[in-house]
This record gives sequence, C-alpha cells and structure tokens, in this order.
Amino acid sequence: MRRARGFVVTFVVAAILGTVGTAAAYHTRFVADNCNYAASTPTSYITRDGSAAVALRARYEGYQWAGGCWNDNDRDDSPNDPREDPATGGEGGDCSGFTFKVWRESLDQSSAGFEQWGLLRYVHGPYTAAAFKAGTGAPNVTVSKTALIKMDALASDTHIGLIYAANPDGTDQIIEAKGEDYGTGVWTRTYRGSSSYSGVRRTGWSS
Amino acid sequence: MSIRPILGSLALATLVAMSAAGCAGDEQPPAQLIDGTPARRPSAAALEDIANDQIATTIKVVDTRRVAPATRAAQCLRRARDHAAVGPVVVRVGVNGESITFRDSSGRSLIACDRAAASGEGRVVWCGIAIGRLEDGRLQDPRLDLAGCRTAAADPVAFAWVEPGRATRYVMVRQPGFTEVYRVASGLPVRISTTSGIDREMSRASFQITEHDGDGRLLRAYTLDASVSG
Repeated sequence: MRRARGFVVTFVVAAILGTVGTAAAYHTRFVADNCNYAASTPTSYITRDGSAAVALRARYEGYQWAGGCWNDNDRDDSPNDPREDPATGGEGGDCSGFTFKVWRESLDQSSAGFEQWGLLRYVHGPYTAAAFKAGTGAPNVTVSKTALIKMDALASDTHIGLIYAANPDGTDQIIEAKGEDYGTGVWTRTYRGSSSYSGVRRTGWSS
Repeated sequence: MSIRPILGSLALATLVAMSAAGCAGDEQPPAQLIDGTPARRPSAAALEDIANDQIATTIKVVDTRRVAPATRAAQCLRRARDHAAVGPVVVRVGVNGESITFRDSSGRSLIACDRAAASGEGRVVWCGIAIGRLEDGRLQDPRLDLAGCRTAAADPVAFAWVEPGRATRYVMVRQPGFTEVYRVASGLPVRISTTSGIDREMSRASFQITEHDGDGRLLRAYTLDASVSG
C-alpha cells in the first residue's frame, strides 16, 4: 500500500514538473526554420486591391505576438502559442505587424514610400496599434470614420484591423490578425461604431 | 519580452565595464532633465556597484481625483479617456523622457503616456501611449514604445515598463555616459526610457538594468529585451 502511494505521489510530481517544463520552454521552430531577414524592395505602384490581395494571403495563417512572418499554406503552423510572448517563434503577425506589412511601410518612419516585404520576411515594424491610431509615422494619417474605404484601418489603443468591405448594416468585414485563439482572417466587426476606434489611412495609394 | 540576467561576479564586472565605457568616451553626463530642471545625484542611498555618474529621475505621485486640470497629467488622462483612471498617477521625469503611469478601473490594464523633447506642446504633448495587460496583477509585456518619441536631435527614444522585484526600491538604467535612477512607487511598474540599445531594423530595444533595495544593495542585474508588439 505504502509503495503504491509512493508511486502515485512520484507520478503526480513528475507529471506536474513535466507540464511546468513544457510551458516554460514553449517555442516553435517556425521562425527559425522558415523566416528570413532579406531587404525589402521599394515599389512605386501599389493599389488598395493589391494590398488586399497581400492581406488575404495571410488568411488562415497564425498569429504571433510581435511577429511578422507567415507562409501561404492556409493553416497555422504554430497553433496555441502562449499569449503575449514574442519569443515563442510562431507563425503569423500580430495586429500592428500585420498592418505594417500589408500596408507595405518602411522601417524608416520618415519615409512614406512603399516597401515590398516577402511573406517569410520576419518584420513587425515600429508601430503599435496605439501609434497607428495616433497617425504616427510619415505614411499614416488619421481620417474620419465616415470617410474610410477599402484597406483603410480602424484602430484602438490595443488593436487595429483593416477594412476589407463595408456591410450595408454599418458593420465592416475586417481583415485582421485577431489573436492567438483565432489567427488571421476576415470577420464581421463593429469597430466603426465603437468610440474606442478611430480611422487611420495609409497614404500614397496608386488607386 | 525577455530578461537576460547578469549573474554573480559577472554583475560587478559588467557594470564596471559599462560605467568605464561611459566615462572613457566623449559622453558627458547631462546637466538637466527633459523639463529643464538641473540633473541631480540621488540622495537617498549609496547604490552598490554603480559608478558615480548617477542621475536621479524625479517622481510625483498624485491621486487620480486630484489631478489639476491644466497639467500634462490631466492631458494624459484625457488622451487615455477610454481607460478610466483609478488610484495613483505616477509622473516621472528623466533625461530623455517623461512618462505618466496609472491603472484603469477594471484592474486589468496599465496605461502610460510618453513624452520626449521633440514632442509638441499644446494639444499633442504626448508622443506615445501604451496599454499593458495585467494578469493576476502582473504585467504581461513591457509595452515597448519607440515609434513617436524623439530627442531634440531627432534620435528615437524608447520607453518600456519594468516590473521590479518585491524588495526593489530603485531601478537603475545604464545610459551612454550616465546611469538613470528611478525610485519605485505605489506598487506600479516603472516606466523607463533610453536612447541607446534601440534596434530599428528589428523594432526592439535592450535596456541595461540593475535593481537595488532601500539600502542601495544590488539585488539583480539584467538586460531587458523588449519588442514592439500589438
């Protein structure tokens, strides 16, 4: 009996330690195995539809806090990363990194020019959602929510999403990096009607 | 966020090296803080293992309900009006940056307004705002802000929160040519700033930090690596 009890205690302790060890050491190899740091390519002609096409390639890929690298295989290759940990090495961008890359912005905040980033180029960019909301950086300006059109953004102090299409009922189809539990995709959202959200525009589109 | 500890005897060697690097270069300790007040040495305690180039940041703690209307703190509360402030409002002034930190009434968020020399006056004094998520009272991410704040010479200024240990009373941040000293207050994370260790390509910043107890004893030395996120 005593031996059995000792076995159970040992088993439980081992199980707990195993769980703790796994959580503390969680990481994936996605960034290390797939992502690169290649230079961006300046590009002069870019349309809103072209930007939307770039955004759609991130759909069904993952979400990574502080991330900015994804492939195009329509699945999250690093599901269920621990939240708000930039070191987990997973696939996807977060909301502001996704916006930076889809808007083809420059790491030089004084430049409003367009930069083409490869899908697997690991880049987040200097802006948080709050910085986008404030119109920080040369390419970004605040815009009345009634004036927003396709690929403009709705930003709060903690989140940003891009307008894919406006719905007749006043809501929008938003393409966004939504969170670790959801990944990146298109959802109907009510950001436009929320006082926490403001309109933001990337300037300089060709059409 | 990641924290890289500098352990044991390495701490002293590293800090001495960092201090020596500061003293040997052309950097001169700044004569004033960002608000124009003279830069002073901390008077409360002799801080262990730190060179004599310390500059004390100033701190003011005001209750949310007593924030005077015409102050920058009031402007910050208006700017962050989506987050109802509760409890103490901590105003910190350093060499390159000024910040305000407070909790929101839900108890789940920590808010900061950041300001640097090149920030405007009037309506747009604050060049950055940060919202941190609290889980069981602990900050999940240091909320690095390096997008909007610049020195008068147009160099970027990075801000982040440090969550000090329980016994910590002073947080020191190594800067080129001097060490900035922040006093812990009101149980809130400490909003620190730097103009060094900023990696614009990777949108990251590294802060060289030591924490000290009330008698100035060194408790830990580490590098805080923070990434722009969310």
